[in-house]
Amino acid sequence: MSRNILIGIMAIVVLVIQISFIDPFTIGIPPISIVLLFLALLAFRLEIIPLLWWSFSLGVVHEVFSLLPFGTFTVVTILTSIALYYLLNTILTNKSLFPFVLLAIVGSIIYNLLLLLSSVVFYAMNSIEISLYQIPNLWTGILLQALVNGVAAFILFLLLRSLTKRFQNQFLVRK
Amino acid sequence: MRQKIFNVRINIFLLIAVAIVLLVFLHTTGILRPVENTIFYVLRPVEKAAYNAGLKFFASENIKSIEDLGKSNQELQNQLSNALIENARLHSLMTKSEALQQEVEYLKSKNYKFEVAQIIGKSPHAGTQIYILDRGTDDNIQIGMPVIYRDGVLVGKIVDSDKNSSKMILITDSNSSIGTYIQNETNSPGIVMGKLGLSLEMQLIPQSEEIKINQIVVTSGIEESIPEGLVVGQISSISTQTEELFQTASIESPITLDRLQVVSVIIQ
Repeated sequence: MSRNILIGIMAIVVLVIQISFIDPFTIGIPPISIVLLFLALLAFRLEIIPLLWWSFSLGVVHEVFSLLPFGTFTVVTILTSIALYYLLNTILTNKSLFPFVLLAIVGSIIYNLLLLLSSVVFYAMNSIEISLYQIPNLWTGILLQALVNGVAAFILFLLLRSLTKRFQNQFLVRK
Repeated sequence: MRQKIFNVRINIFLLIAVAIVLLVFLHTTGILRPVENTIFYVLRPVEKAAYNAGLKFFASENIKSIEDLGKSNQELQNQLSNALIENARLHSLMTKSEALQQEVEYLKSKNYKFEVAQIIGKSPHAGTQIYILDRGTDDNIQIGMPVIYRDGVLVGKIVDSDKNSSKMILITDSNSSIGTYIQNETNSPGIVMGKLGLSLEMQLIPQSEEIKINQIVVTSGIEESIPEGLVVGQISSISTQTEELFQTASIESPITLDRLQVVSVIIQ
């Protein structure tokens, strides 16, 4: 119970920091996405069922601030978390520093590509009147965000490992 | 023995899919609206604080590459003394209360009805300059209304409005276009378009019009909700090609558009 409350509070804090502190002061793709970092952390720590519910909740709160048709952010967030979960459990198969860094990098790329795709599709279908991805340096922006998120994940992992015992290296066994 | 048709994972995927469909349905029918408004209402003070903190943290920074700095160094040295005086004056004007006062005085003098709003965040779409305001339909804010800053400088217009919040697109956004004219002898018409969230360009100015650098560009009032005479900016450069039907001009806004805090929505 206390863990769920903590995750809930963290999710809201992360979302507010991203929307009101980081995004307003960047033009184009923000150099860091702490929402995706948080999602990578959830995929790293949680089992599939709680992960899906938390991704769902994170996506729903995101919808309030979005111009895309309702549900888009929820679907994108859930698909990203599913991709990260399967990447961790079937390809990386261990919980350590570099898998976590890789999750943050891959998560950024998948999330941005899915959002880009949905924006293009909805714009083409006239579901939205505003083209959401007319950005200078779109691809370098996505790449830069992935790299910065990777570096941030590196620092975050080391920080968390020094603070708690839950981030020790661990091999994953397929059930 | 009961046979399991689906395993637990497939069940949870189905459940999530149903939840999403249900959510979209409830949103479309408006049943979810009170929940959405409550989420926004609860988060609003926190967002306001986070945005103000971000403004303090980032406002003084002007990031430029070393190459750019080298190029502009000579020019800047020549303008240094004037810039310092101007900078000091602008800093003293930049306090929230003074900016608010100027806006109120300007709007009163024009007899516009207006609603003062604070920016509290940015819509999570990387390619846009769409900001979230803390006022919505409860405060009579509707889609299409102009948003101004201080003494009547147009900064954007409303593109979405909910009960407690609305979304404003900056005039520098690529999706923004405003009917304008240049304040010269013939009131040369044109359309000011945003360029990638970075700058402004006035297009469709007839070749026959004689325009000059530093002339003021104002709104033409061609859009239903945007009154005539709101300042958009000043011409900083002109591009004229004889084979083209129209000429274009780069426009410089008198304010830093991505560092706004308090704005006013003209509700007329």
